[in-house]
Amino acid sequence: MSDRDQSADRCLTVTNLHAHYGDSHVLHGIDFFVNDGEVVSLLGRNGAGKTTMLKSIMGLIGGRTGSILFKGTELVGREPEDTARLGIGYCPDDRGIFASLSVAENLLLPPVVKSGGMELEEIYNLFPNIKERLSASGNKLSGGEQQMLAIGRILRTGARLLLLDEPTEGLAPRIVKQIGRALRTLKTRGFTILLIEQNFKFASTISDWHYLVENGKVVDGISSDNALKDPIKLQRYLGI
Amino acid sequence: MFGIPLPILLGQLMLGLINGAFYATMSLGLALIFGVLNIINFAHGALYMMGGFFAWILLQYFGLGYWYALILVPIIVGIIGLVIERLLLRHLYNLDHVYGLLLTFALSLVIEGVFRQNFGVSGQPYDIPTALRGGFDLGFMFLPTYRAWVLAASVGICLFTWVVVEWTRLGSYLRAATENPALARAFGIRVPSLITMTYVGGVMLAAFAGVLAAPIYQVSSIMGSNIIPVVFAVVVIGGLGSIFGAVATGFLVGLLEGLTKLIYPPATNTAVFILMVVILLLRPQGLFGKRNY
Ligand SMILES: Nc1ncnc2c1ncn2[C@@H]1O[C@H](COP(=O)(O)OP(=O)(O)O)[C@@H](O)[C@H]1O
Ligand SMILES: [Mg+2]
Repeated sequence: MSDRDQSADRCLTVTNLHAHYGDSHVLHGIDFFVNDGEVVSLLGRNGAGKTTMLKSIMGLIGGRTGSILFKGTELVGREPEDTARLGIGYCPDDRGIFASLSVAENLLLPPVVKSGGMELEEIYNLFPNIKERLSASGNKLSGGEQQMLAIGRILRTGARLLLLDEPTEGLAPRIVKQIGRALRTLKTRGFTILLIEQNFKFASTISDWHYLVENGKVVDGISSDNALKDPIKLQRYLGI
Repeated sequence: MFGIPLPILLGQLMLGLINGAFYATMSLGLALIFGVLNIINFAHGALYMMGGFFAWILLQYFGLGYWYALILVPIIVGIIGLVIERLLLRHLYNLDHVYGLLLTFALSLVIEGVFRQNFGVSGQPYDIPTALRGGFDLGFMFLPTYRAWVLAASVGICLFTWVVVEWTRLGSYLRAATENPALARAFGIRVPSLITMTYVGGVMLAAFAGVLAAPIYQVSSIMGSNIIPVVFAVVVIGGLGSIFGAVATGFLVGLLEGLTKLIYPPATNTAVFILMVVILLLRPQGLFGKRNY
């Protein structure tokens, strides 16, 4: 991990994180960090524990121990609503669009918790599809539109850390490109992003750093450049 | 229709609508509470009874009349609801529906017991406020002003609730919390407070209906037990899926009762339950319900 800036301001520091679903122990002492302004991806096979990592950060997993520091504030023990209100935006793996809400209501649902969030017009520029579907019901959207809405709605709240769970999963290449462009724009706008991706090629175009997750542990970290130079190592982890 | 003179038919339908107004207001509260709390509030009848009783107590012991009661009683009963939710219901949200049903059923027995102990079961008369006495001759029937007021007030309060739920920001929070509370919380929505508010709101609707009912049905410790079976039949028929469904079914059932009374009077009190059985057989999720309930 030589080429990671150790002196940068920390956004998120996770230490010895364990998580349980009832009796089943899923995360076994996770350690990783994200610097301010970085885009960091979590890579790993299905079932490795990536989604559980994001849920643990949000406080959506009851049984978690260890430490999760967000800009110096401990998240373990906090309720999800208090976590979100510190300025963390969450985009779940199933996109979590509310069917009983219109697109506009979904977009405006998350309360603004900090100043400096994006204006609606900027979000429409990023995802023009949303603007055309505002009055539609949340469950009438295509997969791509749902994904854009799921990302779009956490941009106006003033959250500076975005947790994105597989934003390109199951989407057509054209839509994946559009989401890639949007994420790069968000990066230049200074958002810190923790991204789960199955698709390393996609992740490598955005992320500064990749963590490899295996059996509920972070087993390695690698920069995009090094990962591209040493594809064998990645392939072994990802099983591709 | 069935050789019934039109004036009598319309008059009976009007009476049905007025009963329906109570069913609608009550089942609306139940549907809201079920949606957000995942609890079938069996105490709803007892809270309605308290609404009527507190109106009577305010008049009897404090000299505060109907209009004061209409404002004060829902607030008082709402505070009782707040205590119930904070103290008791809070612990049940992650459990099966049946626990909430049992707890609120027990609560209703306790509340009714307290009132029966202190006031007996006989009805206490409650006078119609002066401003609402008299009536209109509609040509085909005589409509007492108070009944017209009950109808207008219930429709008004149901409409108000509907506007809040469907058209406001608070309403979008409520719908989101109904659909996926965990995710709503992950967006920073204070779902635990919303839950308390919803229970208090539903309880206030019941208390409001109780005050409206006081001059019509008399005030008694069993007035809740009298109305609650029909209200639950309304909930089963309508399904717990939508607030519009709860209100519409409330009025529908009132009308059905009114019609049955004309066509076959002995069945007046059972028609609703026959309809309930038919609905359970043909469409178990209810007329307006969603399948997954
Ligand atoms: N709700 C749950 N209850 C029990 N086990 C779960 C639950 N969700 C996920 N798991 C288990 O936790 C492990 C990690 O899952 P997850 O975090 O979803 O992995 P990933 O996102 O990397 O595919 C898997 O073995 C999965 O079966
Ligand atoms: Mg996952």
